[in-house]
Amino acid sequence: MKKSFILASVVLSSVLASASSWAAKEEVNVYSYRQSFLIEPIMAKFTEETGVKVNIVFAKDGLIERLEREGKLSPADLVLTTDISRSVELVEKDLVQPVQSEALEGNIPAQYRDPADQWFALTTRVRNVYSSKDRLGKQPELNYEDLADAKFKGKICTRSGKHPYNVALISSMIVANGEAETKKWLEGVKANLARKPQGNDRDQVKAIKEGFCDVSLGNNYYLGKMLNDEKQVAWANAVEINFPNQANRGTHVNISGVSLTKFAPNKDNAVKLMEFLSDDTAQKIYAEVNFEYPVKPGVAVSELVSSWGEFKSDTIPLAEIAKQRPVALKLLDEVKFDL
Amino acid sequence: MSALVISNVHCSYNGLDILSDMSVTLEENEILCLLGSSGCGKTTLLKAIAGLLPLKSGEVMINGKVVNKTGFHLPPEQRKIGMIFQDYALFPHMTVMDNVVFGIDELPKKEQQQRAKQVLDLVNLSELSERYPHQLSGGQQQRVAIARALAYQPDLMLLDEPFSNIDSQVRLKLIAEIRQILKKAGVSAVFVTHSKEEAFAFADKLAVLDQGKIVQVGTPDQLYLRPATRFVADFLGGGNYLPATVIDEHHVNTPLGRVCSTVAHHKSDATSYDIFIRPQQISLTANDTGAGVVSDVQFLGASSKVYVKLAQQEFECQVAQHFTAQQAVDLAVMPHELILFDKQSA
Amino acid sequence: MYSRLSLSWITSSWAIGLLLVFPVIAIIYQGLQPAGDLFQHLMDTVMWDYIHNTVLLILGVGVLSFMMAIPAAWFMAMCDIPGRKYLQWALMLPLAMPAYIVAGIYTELLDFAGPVQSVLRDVFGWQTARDYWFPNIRSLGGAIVIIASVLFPYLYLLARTSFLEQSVTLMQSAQLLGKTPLQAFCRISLPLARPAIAVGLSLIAMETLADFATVNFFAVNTLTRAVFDTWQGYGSLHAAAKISTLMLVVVVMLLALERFSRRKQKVFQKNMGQERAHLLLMKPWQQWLAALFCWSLVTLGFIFPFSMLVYFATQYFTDSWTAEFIEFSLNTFFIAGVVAVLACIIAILVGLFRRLHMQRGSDIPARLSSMGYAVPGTVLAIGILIPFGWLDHSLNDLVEHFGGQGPGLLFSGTMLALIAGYLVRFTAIAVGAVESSINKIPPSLDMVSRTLGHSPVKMVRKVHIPLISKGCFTAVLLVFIESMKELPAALILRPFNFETLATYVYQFVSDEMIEHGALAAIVIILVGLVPLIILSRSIERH
Repeated sequence: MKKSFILASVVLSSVLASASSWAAKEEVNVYSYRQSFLIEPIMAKFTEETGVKVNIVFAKDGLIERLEREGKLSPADLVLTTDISRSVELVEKDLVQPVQSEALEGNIPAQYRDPADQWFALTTRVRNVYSSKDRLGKQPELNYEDLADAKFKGKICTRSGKHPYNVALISSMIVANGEAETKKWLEGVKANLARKPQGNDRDQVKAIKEGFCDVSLGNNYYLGKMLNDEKQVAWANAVEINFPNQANRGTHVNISGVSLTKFAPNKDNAVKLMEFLSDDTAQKIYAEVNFEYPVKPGVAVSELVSSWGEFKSDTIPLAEIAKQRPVALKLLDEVKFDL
Repeated sequence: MSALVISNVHCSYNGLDILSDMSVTLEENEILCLLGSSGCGKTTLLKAIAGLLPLKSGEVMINGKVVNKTGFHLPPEQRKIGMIFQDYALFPHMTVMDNVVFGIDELPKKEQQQRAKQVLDLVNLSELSERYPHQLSGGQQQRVAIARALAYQPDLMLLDEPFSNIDSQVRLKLIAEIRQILKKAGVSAVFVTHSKEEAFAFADKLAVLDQGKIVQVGTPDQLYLRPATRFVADFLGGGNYLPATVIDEHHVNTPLGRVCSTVAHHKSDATSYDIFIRPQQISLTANDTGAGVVSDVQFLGASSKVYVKLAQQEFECQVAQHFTAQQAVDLAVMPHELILFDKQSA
Repeated sequence: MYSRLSLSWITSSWAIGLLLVFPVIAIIYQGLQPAGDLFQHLMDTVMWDYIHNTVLLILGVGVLSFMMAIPAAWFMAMCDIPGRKYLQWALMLPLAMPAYIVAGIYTELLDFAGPVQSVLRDVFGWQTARDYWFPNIRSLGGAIVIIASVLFPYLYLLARTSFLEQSVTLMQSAQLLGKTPLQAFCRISLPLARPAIAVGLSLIAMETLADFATVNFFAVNTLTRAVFDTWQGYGSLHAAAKISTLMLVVVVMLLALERFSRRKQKVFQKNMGQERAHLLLMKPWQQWLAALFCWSLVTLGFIFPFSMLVYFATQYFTDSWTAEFIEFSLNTFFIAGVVAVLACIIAILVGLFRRLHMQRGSDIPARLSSMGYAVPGTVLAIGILIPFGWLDHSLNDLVEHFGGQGPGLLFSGTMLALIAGYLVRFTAIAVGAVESSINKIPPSLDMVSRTLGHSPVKMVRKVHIPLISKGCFTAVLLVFIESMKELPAALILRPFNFETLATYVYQFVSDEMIEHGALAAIVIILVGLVPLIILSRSIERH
């Protein structure tokens, strides 16, 4: 037993050492829902310019719960999200604080930040409809509503309905058309599915290439990434990108965001990083490397993205959309969308 | 028809010869004992008969049916053999009854019950049929194993050191019981042991094995009275070796004087041999001027074992009278069927 | 036999049991909180589908693993098939493969654009997916095959050991009583191996139940998915915890049922005889068929996916071989090593407590410390955060109460949380392995050593520990491998800038860029192999 005590104390002391190592230094701690390899180049730039070290924990799920449990002791300063509903959830759970910053207000248009300044969008991403180049061609007249039309029977592919990107889209439909209408729409889409919802947005494009289906839902930047991937470029070349609902309310747009935690221990550096993320250098990297739409006016989208043309985006306030999230989830269960 | 014929059996394991050129025959309703020290190959022979080990060459025939010959090996499950293992090999997850009917479960239920009852009665265990093996004593487990084998109505019963785990107090009684059970059931059996007492008490016929070979086969008394080799003589109970010179057909000369044989020994005159004298064939007489001195006495009840020192040699004698240590005695060899071996080349 | 144990042993056994079950209790407590009408909504809509899928998945994986593992274990234990020497450890190799990686590889291979279907299209002149039917790997069936093909070695390992420990004379007796080898196997070997098989199957069932990455990848909606949806989607920890609690209840009931069903059997076996390889004499063609069967299992679960990974790794070597890589590897080994040793020590402590204390309820600590195994890693992570967060806050409040500066987070968000999470999940494996090894020690040895004047502690040191060392070794290795592969808890609980190989690989797999993670995947697998080989060697030697 003696050995185990020695072992335990070694472990404990090394743990404590690592725990105290991030106290009182020039650094920012980030909980990120965004994959770290996407944001690492930006963070490296930030460290280079300011000398402030950025520590990251990336996870697709559970970070908000971790923050909640850690409470005022949490080392986290910033939370990066990939979806409006997460940003709103942070606010609702009272885990974040408002930031008054002229730089942020200057960089980010009002529609892309929380009226109470508790969350800020860094980029916007469009929920596009991809269509088969060979079998359907470009669909400029298409509305999201048309996906329930019988003419698409057995021709639609999508990832899980429960994925935040789809949930946000459905929420926006609830805001636009009401709950009952949206449920009918979901039933129609489900009946049109070529296969059970599965994979990610790229898989759906691949499925179009392979002839499983003719239409799919997907975020805009995936097409950019596929076009720049040796293996996937063939998939991307098989589809057209469409911006639905141009004749009416516009295409659904989501955001990736950032918030300052309520008990951020490195508040100054954290705000510095937020400002950096909303400024030209970072915005450009978002646009160029990840094919997202920068929020800062005047920062150019990438050449590829601009080749897709101008489009009209849905102007429903993002907060409204986030509010409909539980209803959207309920409808998905009711029509057994994923099953 | 013979119950078992083994001819020229060879068996090897990992390239080592375990059995070589073995032949032995067992008649119907006879009990054969394979006797030998551990590692002599007796268990291997048993397993070869059962078909649990492959043979290198030779033939095995059970009840007139060939079960092993060159290029042919009848699997054990088709040999109709009952085997009792040293650890009894009772199935620990089954009751006594389930164990007993294990081999006959293809018969109609009623017949199974009937036969199980019959054999359990025979081994006197009818009351314990619902118990599990771990709830039984060693002797009871043994009898379950026998009942299980008997219920199967085997052509031949094999017993691998079956009494080694039994209390010596009850061992001889159990041996008698089981011998009777086997005889009553009319089953031929081969039985392996390293104990001569068990062998004498249990066997009709005895085969002494040494280093993978059969040294001698015969009835127990034949082997005891007329051992073919010193090994057999020693194994079936020790004795005293003395140099002896033949005088005539019925007499030899030894350091203990002239010894008389009850049967003609057919050895040539004037030749030297070693005579083997069992302890009970020496008689002792108390005599203050006797040449022998008692060095130790072991009391056995009906008789005593007396060790007598005489001219550098210690003699082992078994006599009915009582002697005490340091007593002077005279030794004499009683007339009997003499056992003479060729002189051992040094 | 009843032994008077020192108070410290009694309390530490109970303390460990309670500590390890605390996260589970935290979850159950959450589950008892009202979850509004959300739970009812789920029951009205999708819950039965989730339950249905879960039951089918577990049954399917169980049956398939049984069909794979039991014949293989039997061949390895009883006959001399060609290549036996290599096969007996090769059959353990799939254990080193994380299921989600295998799933990614087979999807790559078997989906529409994969080589298999491409060749078929070339041969038959088909054009699109609508021209022909091909089984969809992204389905319940696909998930069953993939999960079974990497989990069956649990059963193989336990069943083979059990077969090897059965007295040879039992099989020989059965054969002599007129049973064919197959009948003897079904009537004797199988029932006697039942405890081991039950343990193996329940390990597999719990692993399956807890799996998230694979079923998610294959779009199979199971209860784990339901837990996840309610927690992440509806943001209701209460409802998620409720579902987890129900899953837990089912697992506990199954385990209890199994134990109850064999309460009467008490089997202490003596092992007689050595000629085991001769037990089953097979014709050459049968031997080759058996060998082919075993090798195809190895190929399915290991050789094939591993070669694919090696191929990917060579293609993307320069992208993957970075300085971070070594750091991640060291992190992984350190965590897995610490967890493995601690889990084994705990298993010995509670296992021997159960044997020596012999009072009503003395097996409770062992049962308690195994409960966490059935909890999906993601949920478990929350179960860890709740008590650890509470501890941190109390500690800081205490220090501040006395006017000091609070030390911050000592438990949550540190390695300690990660180690605790792994322990809660994997101690069950160690407890199982050590316990079965303890159960094999005949009670007479305890009596002998006590009558020879040894105190319980001395007896444990001189008699039990040496006798169970093999079981402990197995426990350490199994926990080590599992900890290396663990994913969801690591994702949530890890400290800043801390990656394990599994979290690193998962980044790529989840984005279907498995090629880039291939090198890290190979390291996970290779490191997992070392203990497997040592393990099989040691089993051989004994």
